[in-house]
Amino acid sequence: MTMPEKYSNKGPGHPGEFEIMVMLAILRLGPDAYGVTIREELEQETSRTITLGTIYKSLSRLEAKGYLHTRTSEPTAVRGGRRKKLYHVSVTGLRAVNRSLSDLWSLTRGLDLGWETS
Amino acid sequence: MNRRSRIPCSIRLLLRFLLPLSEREYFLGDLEESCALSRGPDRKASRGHGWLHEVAGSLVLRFGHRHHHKLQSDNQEGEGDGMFREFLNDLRFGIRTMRRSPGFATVAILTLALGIGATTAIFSVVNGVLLTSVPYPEPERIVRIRECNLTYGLPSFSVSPMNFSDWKTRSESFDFMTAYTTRRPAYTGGEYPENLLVYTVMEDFLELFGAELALGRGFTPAEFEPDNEQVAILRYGFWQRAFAGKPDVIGDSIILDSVVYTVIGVTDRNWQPINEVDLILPLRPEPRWASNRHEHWLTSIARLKPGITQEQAQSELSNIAATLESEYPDFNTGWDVRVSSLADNLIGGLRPQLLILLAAVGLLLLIACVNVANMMLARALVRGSEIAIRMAVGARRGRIIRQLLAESVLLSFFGAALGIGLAWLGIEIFRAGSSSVSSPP
Repeated sequence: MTMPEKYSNKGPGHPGEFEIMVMLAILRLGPDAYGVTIREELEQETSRTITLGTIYKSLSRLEAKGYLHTRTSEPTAVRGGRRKKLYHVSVTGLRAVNRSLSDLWSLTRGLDLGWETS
Repeated sequence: MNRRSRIPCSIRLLLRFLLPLSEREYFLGDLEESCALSRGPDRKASRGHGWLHEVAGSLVLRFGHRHHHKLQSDNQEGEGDGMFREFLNDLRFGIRTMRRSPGFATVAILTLALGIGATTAIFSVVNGVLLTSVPYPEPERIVRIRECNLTYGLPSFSVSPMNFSDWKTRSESFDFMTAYTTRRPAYTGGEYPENLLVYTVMEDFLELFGAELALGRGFTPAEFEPDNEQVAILRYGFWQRAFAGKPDVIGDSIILDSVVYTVIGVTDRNWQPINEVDLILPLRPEPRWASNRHEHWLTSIARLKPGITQEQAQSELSNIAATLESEYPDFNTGWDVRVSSLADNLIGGLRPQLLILLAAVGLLLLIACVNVANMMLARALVRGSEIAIRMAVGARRGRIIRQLLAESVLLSFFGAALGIGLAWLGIEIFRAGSSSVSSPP
């Protein structure tokens, strides 16, 4: 008996909670998503203190799973003459985010969690 | 372009060391930018975070980076993380190196195998003989009691039944005291007539040796009285051989020297008496014993009470022997008692020889190891250029050491495998050549 593709352990699997947050931050930032801006976006929206190392770990994993594409910018003085690595979410990444959020949404249906809809 | 960094030099160096090469530039650039815009660790220092936090984060990244390789290797080769894959590569390379120089590999493996094989074989024998030779509960409490008469030039002799009876009655040092002798009665119930080896034993024999029964029961006190029904307990092996392991053998008869014995029990498969006997029969007193203490033919074994030493037991029995000497001067003049541990008794004078042999093979293993180490050193000199090339193309010192260690592990593995085979062969040879060693003198 074969497992449905959705739940199979083969392939990159489901993104974790923090990985979803990182991908959502990248989607919100558009073309200017790199380490500094992603961290600021997450810290502002989630009230968490996040190190660059944590961000880069997730970015590295997401890239390895094929959820992110990257390109590099030109070096800038403010960065000590170093380049930026800019990220954008791939089609696979978009599908993964959609699937995970859809699953979460399905699970919350019928629950009264005290949310206030805007 | 402003190249002056806001990251402290020590932190920058530490991060350079910690960060994976693929992410180093972008990570340091981001950190620099955060500092320049006052959004980095120097701002957070006032809130209790700061550089330490970022260094800790870079550790997370480094760990995550290794995991990233794991993800890739899971999808590609399924061989685990980087370090394990490197070890497998080292082993493969080690095998190729061994195949390139079969002479070195063969001599090194044979040297190790001989050392390991000889040491393992001798240690197995010493372990079996010296350390675990008495397979009974609390063997240190089991002693053998013999008589001696230096006037007659008999430093160790069998025991007279009546003297044994008096020891048993008068001594207080022992939980159990028993005696036995061996017989070779004729058995004609099998496919062909044969002489069996049989223990005839006094009371407490099975209890003293902690013998468990697979079937039936032990002897009752009444069965040691004359004129009662003759009974026998079978050894497991004899039950299998003569009765084909018949489950309802209890109550069957067996004829030995024309006397009919009723089977009342079968010993447990794992119970091992001192001699390889087939049957155990009760020893019943005979009237002639009382009139003649000159007959010495029993082997006496006893189990010391907890807390009683061998020396205390010896002292008590010597006192009893002295009393018996005065009571029966015609028979007991000059007779004393010798108490010794059963283990020492079984091993006899073999202990020093075995220990010397163990030390000798230990040295042999040491010599084998030194020889192989020398050979590997000489070989390392020959491989100097190969190692230099590998370092020149980027191999780190640790990587080279790991590779050489992997080759040593391979040699040791093959040497040990062959050595275990040789040890097995050696033990079989010992076993074949020393089947009589376990019998008491």
